[in-house]
Amino acid sequence: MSPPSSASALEQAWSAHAVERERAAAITAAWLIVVLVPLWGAFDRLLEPALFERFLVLRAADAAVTVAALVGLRRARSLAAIRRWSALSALACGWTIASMLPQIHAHYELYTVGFSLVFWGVGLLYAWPPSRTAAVFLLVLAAHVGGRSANPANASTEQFAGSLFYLGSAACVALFVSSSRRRLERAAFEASFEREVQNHTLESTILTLQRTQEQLIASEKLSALGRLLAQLSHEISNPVNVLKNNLGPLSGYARGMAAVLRQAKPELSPEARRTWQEHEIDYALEDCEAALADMGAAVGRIRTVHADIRAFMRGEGPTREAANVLDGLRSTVAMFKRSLPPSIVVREQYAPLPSTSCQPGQLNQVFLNLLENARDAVRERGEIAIEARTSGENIVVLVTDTGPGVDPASRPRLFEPFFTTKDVGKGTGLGLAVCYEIMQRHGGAISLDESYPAGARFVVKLPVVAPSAGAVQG
Amino acid sequence: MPRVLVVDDDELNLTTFERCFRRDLVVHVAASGADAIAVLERGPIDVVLADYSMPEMDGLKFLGIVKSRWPNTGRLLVTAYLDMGPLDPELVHHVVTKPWDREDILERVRAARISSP
Repeated sequence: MSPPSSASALEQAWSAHAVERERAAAITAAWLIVVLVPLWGAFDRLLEPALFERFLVLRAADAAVTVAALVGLRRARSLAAIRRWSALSALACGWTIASMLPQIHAHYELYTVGFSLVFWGVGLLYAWPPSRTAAVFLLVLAAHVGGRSANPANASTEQFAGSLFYLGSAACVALFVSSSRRRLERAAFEASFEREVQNHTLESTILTLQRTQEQLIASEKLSALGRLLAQLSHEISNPVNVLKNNLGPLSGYARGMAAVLRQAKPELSPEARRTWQEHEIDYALEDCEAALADMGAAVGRIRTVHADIRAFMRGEGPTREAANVLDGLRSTVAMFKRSLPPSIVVREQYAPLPSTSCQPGQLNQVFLNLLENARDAVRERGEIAIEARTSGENIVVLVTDTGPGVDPASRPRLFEPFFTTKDVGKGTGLGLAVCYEIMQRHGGAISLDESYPAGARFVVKLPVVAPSAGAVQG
Repeated sequence: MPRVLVVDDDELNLTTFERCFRRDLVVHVAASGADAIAVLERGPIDVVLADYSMPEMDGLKFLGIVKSRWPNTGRLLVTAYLDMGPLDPELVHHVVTKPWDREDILERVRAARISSP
């Protein structure tokens, strides 16, 4: 994360945090006032019974404003609205007591101490910006001074000066407490935010590492299998050659011997007839050709696998040319479409692509393998969509089919050689492995779009290695 | 009938070759390059088919010797590798991939016999 965006993210998180924090503080303060009002009423009745009823009205008005502030605080969404309501409840409380003080005769000092609770309360509960705290305090003190000016007779000048001195000091201390609280909270918040950002970065780093490791393991597994295949392919070519090329002469021998035996059968000696029966020659004559045909078919199947393996190993050579992938894709799709029944619809969407250095024949094989898989997936009826476009520095080809999709259990093994979901004899399981190898050699990638909801979508990504950059052609 | 010499370290390939072509070609076989040179020294051969991967002397090395000593003999390389890379057409007249095909071999032998002056 870059510093500016981190700073703005911090400010955003801080203001979101401040809304909840200040709401909680204001609600606590308001509840305190509501709970304390009856207690203070009892206090008034004990100390100033003559003023009790008048004070009760003032205190009730304060409680009413506080209850209104409580409702407002619960509903407020913005920080400004919360601060308005909390300032209002603090001011109501301060004004109430400021308007009571000038009427008091006997217990002026005690009420002054009670008055100072407004400052301590604000200082301890709120972490407002200092200017706001100072403004609220000044307003409350102004009410006190104003009250004195309106009723100069009740308290002596010393008493008033003392109360002003005491309340002013309380306001200063509370202001200091409030602003240090604010600084501490901000510092704590910044530290925890930074920790969260670090955790987040760490988590995503770990995730990337895990993914890279999985990919590495997968590609190492595939390349080890590739080496094994190369060796296997080479090792079996001699035995396959021997099997394949002896079947012809052997069939010829069998046919010749069968003809001779059938001709000679009527003139056989009794002893030869017994031997004939013993060895079930009638059956052998019938079955020999079938057995040879079975062997021929089996060798044919081995040769198909062998040819697939060789196709898989092919193309390690460095012969690349500048070509437009679209040309090969178009002709591959055209050729492929000829093999389709009319019940399978093919949709093509091509954007102009740049030329790139590649092995066009190999890429065509990738496309053909994907198309053939799509055809096998949709079976008799469905749709196959081919899309080609550029995405950043890559050419992207999408092959999508409306078949049943790839079962999640098969997904991790999709590109492993010999992994197939097709019936025995239908697929060697090398098609996608071949595609994987070819795309690796091109520095590209092939993957299943796991987020594609219906059917299956394969994504081929090919980096544009431009021999003549900017040469875009349709 | 064209006289051919097949060189392969796998004996099964040699017997298979003899069996397949006994009516079409005069088949001589050798299990190594050295043996094959001895056969060539004994009498004229029209075309040699050499397996590429053999211990001691590989097919290309053997064909090199044939080219220099018996330049009129047709030279075919038999291999299981699909990617042999670019080969000198003066040295190897054609590459046959294993498993080979009977008709293909007959055609290549005929062609190699004609092309070798």
